[in-house]
Amino acid sequence: MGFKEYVGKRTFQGIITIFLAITLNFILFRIMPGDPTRATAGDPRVDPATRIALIAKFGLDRPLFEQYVLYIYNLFKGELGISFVQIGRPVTEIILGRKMINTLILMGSSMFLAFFLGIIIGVIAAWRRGTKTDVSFIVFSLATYSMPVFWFGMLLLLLLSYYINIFPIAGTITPGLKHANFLELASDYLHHLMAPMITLGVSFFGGYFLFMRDAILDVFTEDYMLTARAKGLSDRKILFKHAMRNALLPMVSLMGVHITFLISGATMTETVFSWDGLGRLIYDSVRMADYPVLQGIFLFMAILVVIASICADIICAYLDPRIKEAVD
Amino acid sequence: MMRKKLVLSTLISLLLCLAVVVPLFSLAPVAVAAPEREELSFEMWTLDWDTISVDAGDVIEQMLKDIGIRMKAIPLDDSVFYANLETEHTFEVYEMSLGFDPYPGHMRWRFHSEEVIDYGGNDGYINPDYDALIDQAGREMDAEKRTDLLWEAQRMLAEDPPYIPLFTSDDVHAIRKEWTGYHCMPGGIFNWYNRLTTIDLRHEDQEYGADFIMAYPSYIRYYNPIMGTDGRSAFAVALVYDDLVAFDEDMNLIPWLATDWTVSTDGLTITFNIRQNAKWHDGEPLTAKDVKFTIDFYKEQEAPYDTSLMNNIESVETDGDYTVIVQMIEPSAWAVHAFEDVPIMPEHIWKDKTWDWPVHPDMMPIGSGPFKWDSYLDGEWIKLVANPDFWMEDKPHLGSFTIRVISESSARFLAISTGEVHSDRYELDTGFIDAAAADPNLAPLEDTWCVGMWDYIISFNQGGHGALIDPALQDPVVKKAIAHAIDKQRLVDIARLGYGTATDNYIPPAFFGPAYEDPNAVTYEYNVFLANQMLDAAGYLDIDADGIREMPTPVEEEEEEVPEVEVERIEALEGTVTSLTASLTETRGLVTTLETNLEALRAQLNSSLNMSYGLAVVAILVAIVAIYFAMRK
Repeated sequence: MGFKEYVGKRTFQGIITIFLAITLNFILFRIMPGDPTRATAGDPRVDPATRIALIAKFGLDRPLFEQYVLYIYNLFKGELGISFVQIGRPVTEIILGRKMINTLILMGSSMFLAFFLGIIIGVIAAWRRGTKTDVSFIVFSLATYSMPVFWFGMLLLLLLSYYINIFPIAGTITPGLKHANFLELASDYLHHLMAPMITLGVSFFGGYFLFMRDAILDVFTEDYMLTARAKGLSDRKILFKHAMRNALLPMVSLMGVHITFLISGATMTETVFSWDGLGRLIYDSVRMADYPVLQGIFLFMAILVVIASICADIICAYLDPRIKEAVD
Repeated sequence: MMRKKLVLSTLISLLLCLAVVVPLFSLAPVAVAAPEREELSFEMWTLDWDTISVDAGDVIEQMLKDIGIRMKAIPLDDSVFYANLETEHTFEVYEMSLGFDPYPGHMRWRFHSEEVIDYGGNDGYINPDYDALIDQAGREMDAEKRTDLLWEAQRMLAEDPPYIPLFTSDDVHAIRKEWTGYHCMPGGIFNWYNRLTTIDLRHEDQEYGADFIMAYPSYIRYYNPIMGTDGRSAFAVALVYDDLVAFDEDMNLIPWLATDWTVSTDGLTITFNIRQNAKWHDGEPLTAKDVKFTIDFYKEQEAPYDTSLMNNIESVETDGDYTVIVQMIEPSAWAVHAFEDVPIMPEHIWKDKTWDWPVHPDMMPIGSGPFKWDSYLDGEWIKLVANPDFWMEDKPHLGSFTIRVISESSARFLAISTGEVHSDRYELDTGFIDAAAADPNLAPLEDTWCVGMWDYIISFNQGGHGALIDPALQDPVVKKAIAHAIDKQRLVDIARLGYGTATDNYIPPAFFGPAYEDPNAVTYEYNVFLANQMLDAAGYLDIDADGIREMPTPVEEEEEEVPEVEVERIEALEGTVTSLTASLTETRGLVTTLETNLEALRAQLNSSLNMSYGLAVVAILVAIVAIYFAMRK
């Protein structure tokens, strides 16, 4: 089997996976207890007639199989449906809007922060293995890694927004403020971004740090490290040119796996800081049994995961001669 | 290797088959059959996310041990709980809050046998005498006579209680102390029908023009005023749109967009006089035509909201620019009250729209109320500014009203403490009451303390929905004994830290106003000794001495002979007339059905066409997979 067939095979597998994901999404949310029309009505004074009318409007009185087939059919037409909770608003409009941008910015910045700091400090800690620096970073990262992120977020909120009161308590920009120019808007946005970004950054940091430290320690046992040292290279050059580069490979594939977080967002953190992103949308939609929105987000995530993993596999196969050989 | 592939392909094929087959079967819920029981032992459901319901449930469980009844409190997730209440109806006992309307409409929808339907408010109480009484009260236009009838209905319920009223969880608000002018009304200082607060709220140092910021737990669901009936949207709708009438602090009707109204003595004609100086936010004048348009809009489009009012309206006419005459089909005592819930909409904007028009993002909502939309960020905040052309002179006092989403309850409280927002849409959670009472920046809780709209009850399944019910739950003696054994004030003190009002009646005067204070009400004071005596006398004895009473030994009932009833001629004649009328109605119905059938047939054809397309897509996908696996071998 040649390289081209390998790519074709992975793509085909990807399509099957997406199809399975669509089906599972559909079934999963309907097995879940909860009545979407209750959330829609959301008011004790609502007439039974209103409920029944809404059930008929959403087609929830039809057999499940019919709903499923219609869903697939509409999907092929490119329609994700209309939100049950916000009647009349198409799912695509809700998902692919501000919420997605907010989540991308929050997750992107905090993952980048954690990734960058994790690598740098991981290398330093590995170099100074067993010293006080190393031990204190390990203790710190284990503590933050195992800490529930919403709890840490609430502590940070209490500290930064209440006692010290330097960051706003909620939202992405100041309500009602009319910004004079883009710079003002950006600085307002950044001001709001800081607290959730720090929370998520700290909670991601532990994982990357420990992974990097272990990878570097592994590399240290390799023969070429001894060669480098024997060549008389400086410590800094050995560490950052030889050791870090080789240790980075597994880190990059780890990052690839974490790409999905960019979309799924951090449900808890977004809720604590009232960050209007997709994570909070998932939370609200689950609570209100908003099937079309949930199906839309999860379909989106499934597609992203499949594409990311296919890309990673293909790139790996292209780059790494060992995999290429195995394929051939 | 071959074997491995085979396993893999089988697995995938199986999964695919499963994917196709599983949706065929809707997952049937497991039916819970009420087991035959000897003991007075019941399961009482409470709502797991509602701490008041859970705490009160635990206390009730302890209290009822004193009279030898085991009432096991079981906190349940609302999706399971409500699904049972709404469609399955197999619960035994539950304890939670239902919520009042601003007028005692619940006397019908909680107890009338016509409400024994799926999604209905009645938990299975069927009593023809009560139905007759409440129907009569619903048609009675004279307030005093109506109250008498409601009192009689209330006493009837108390003799065989379908539920026992416990207490209302009262509304205490965290609001910063520099704000004043809010009105304390049953239901809280901020509620969708508390329109007086929205126009009178002000800063203590700034009579006019202050900016008020309110925290919301989540964004409003609808920009559309018809659909905005959930608590969050309804409050925003009330700021922007006007209704014909409103309520004052004692829950009496007051003029709002209508300056006055008259109801004919037969209750069939209601005439509203509309304010002459009201304007829409875009400058157009508001006239009787808009009012007529709104009602016609609901009716013509069959919007599934306010249906009981709209279905009862025969027609609407205007008389001049500022008079609206509404013809009712049947007299209804609460018709004018129900108009409190109908936002009047501008004809020039809605005339070619449908009831589910999302409004956003085409435009911002345009109403006639005290505030108009200024700017918003979907999902985060809404800024409303005072309407300078508001029809009431010198109102509102605020310059702007901002609604801001803060999802987390402790973050909302912190934001009020720091002054980032000024109050919360909802009352304080019980967990924050102590902290709020100690906070010097907040108004004293006594100032914001209003009777709440959330009435907690302990409800017994009366079996009207057809579920098999423990006979003890239908025995008035057992229910009365339970009523005697519950110390309601203690429930309030534990579950709501004292910020609640114990309720003894089905129409608590604390909420609905002093007019409903029934001097002869049947109430059950806390008296464990009496409760035990009642149960002993009725034969519920603790035979096996385990602390729980057993059912009384069954007494064989003698069969009564049914006396033969003579059929009179008049009855026969009446029967003929009735059957003739019925067949006429039937014929009319048939014509209508035929018409709708044609529509349905068309729709069915469409949907089955779609179905077959979809099926084809699925089949092709399955075929591709099958061919793929076949080709590989």
